[in-house]
Amino acid sequence: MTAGLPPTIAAAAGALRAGETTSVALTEAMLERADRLDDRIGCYLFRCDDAALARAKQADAELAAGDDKGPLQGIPLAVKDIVATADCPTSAQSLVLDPAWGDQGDAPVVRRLREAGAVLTGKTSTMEFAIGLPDPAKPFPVPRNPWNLDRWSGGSSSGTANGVAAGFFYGGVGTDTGGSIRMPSALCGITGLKPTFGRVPKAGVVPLSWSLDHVGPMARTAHDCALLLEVMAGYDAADPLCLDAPVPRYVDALDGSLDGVRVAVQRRHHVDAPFVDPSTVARFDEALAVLEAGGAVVEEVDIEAFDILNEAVAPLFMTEAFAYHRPTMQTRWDDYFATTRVMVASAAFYTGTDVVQARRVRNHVLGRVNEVLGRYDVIATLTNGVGAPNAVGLDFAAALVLPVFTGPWNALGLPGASVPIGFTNDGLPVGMHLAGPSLGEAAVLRVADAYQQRTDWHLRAPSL
Amino acid sequence: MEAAGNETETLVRALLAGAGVTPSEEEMAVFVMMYPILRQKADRLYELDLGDRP
Repeated sequence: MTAGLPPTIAAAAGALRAGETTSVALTEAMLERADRLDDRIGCYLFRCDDAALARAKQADAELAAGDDKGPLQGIPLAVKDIVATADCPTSAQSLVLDPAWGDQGDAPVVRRLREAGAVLTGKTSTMEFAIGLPDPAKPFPVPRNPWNLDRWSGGSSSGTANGVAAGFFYGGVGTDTGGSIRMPSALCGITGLKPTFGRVPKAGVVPLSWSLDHVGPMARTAHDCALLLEVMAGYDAADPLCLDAPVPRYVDALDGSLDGVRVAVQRRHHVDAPFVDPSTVARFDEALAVLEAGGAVVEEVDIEAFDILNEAVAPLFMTEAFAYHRPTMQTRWDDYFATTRVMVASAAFYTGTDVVQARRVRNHVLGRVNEVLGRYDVIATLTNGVGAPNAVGLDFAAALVLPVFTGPWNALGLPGASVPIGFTNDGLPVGMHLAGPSLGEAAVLRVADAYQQRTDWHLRAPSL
Repeated sequence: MEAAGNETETLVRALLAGAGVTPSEEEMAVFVMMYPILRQKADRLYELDLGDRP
């Protein structure tokens, strides 16, 4: 958070309408903060200060004239740099992506944010093509964790997460193929939502895995994510996988009540997974106690084959990614990030049969999960079983076994949010993952918001 | 064990060559390390009895 500024989108929207601040003042303060700190954070790949300040000035004029476009009007936001924008390049943080790829103008999700009056301040760092780990040998910033600058922000929506945590903007656009919204949100102590598959159009987003890619909001609170999702969601014919379903007013579900809310807790294959830091489990238990004390019914479940579903993600993910990258990897191998090329090319080790079997496992476990979600509103797990790892020198083999529990929800296509629930004993943020039924974002956001109305972890800010 | 290791390396080199990519020798060692882990994980997919279901 930026000292002296409203802490959230909702608060800033209120302050703008009360005449307590202006969009220009918010935007200038946040850009100035990035000027001072971003060398150490590694948030932005591209900034568009002039365009942002022009939009802020326009938002102030519109509000003064009574032209109210809703709560995102005049709010500084940022966009992950695999999403096309008209006023900034799109690099996917890669030497390989053809710069002309970004010439297509705004992606539908960006166009919607602009039409809602948002002020887009720039493009944020990612892992190359939204996969892998930082590569200090390449000419891009290494995204750091604002809670400990020696640590990684997580990925791949790295810069959207660390920028929100550092107070460079109020929220933004992330993408999530195996956890890339929720994992960095958890590691940076913010809130991130991966919606239902197809809920937000993916047109204008560099693909990673067509059947697992999701676009979603990242912000400080579940309430802010609801405000963002209302604008971002909805059908667009440019994405053939986009759902044609009405978009509800998600904020209407945020009544703060937990009475009668039923929370299923999947502990096995999570809290008992290898390398889990016990202090993350302690924070998870404390968070569940908050929900229970608020009136929720919290019960343990044990979803059949959930651990095997975890093994289904990589064959689906990597084979689709390699289908996209194979031609360029054959000719420009060394231009890719070290971990990008190794992870993606590992698809060569899977067979067609593996991919078919992965889909069958996904279908089977989806049936079991839907049975549970017929009896419960949400399923709670840990998001991350460890705090953020080191930003540089992160061992690849160790990264492969990091206890992060987001991938299965991409395979299932169900909505999931990570909310901050405290800190490890080392002072690093921990997240709780709340998953809901297909198109059940309102249920997920309701529980996340009700938890945040009873806690203040989401309002904690690192000292920078 | 060494023979098994050599077999793995030969297989990994063949699979990557078939995919048309040219890793360094250092990367090849990483791939050889990864291969049995990834295969073990992929083989777990077949532990579930799915019968006739798609």
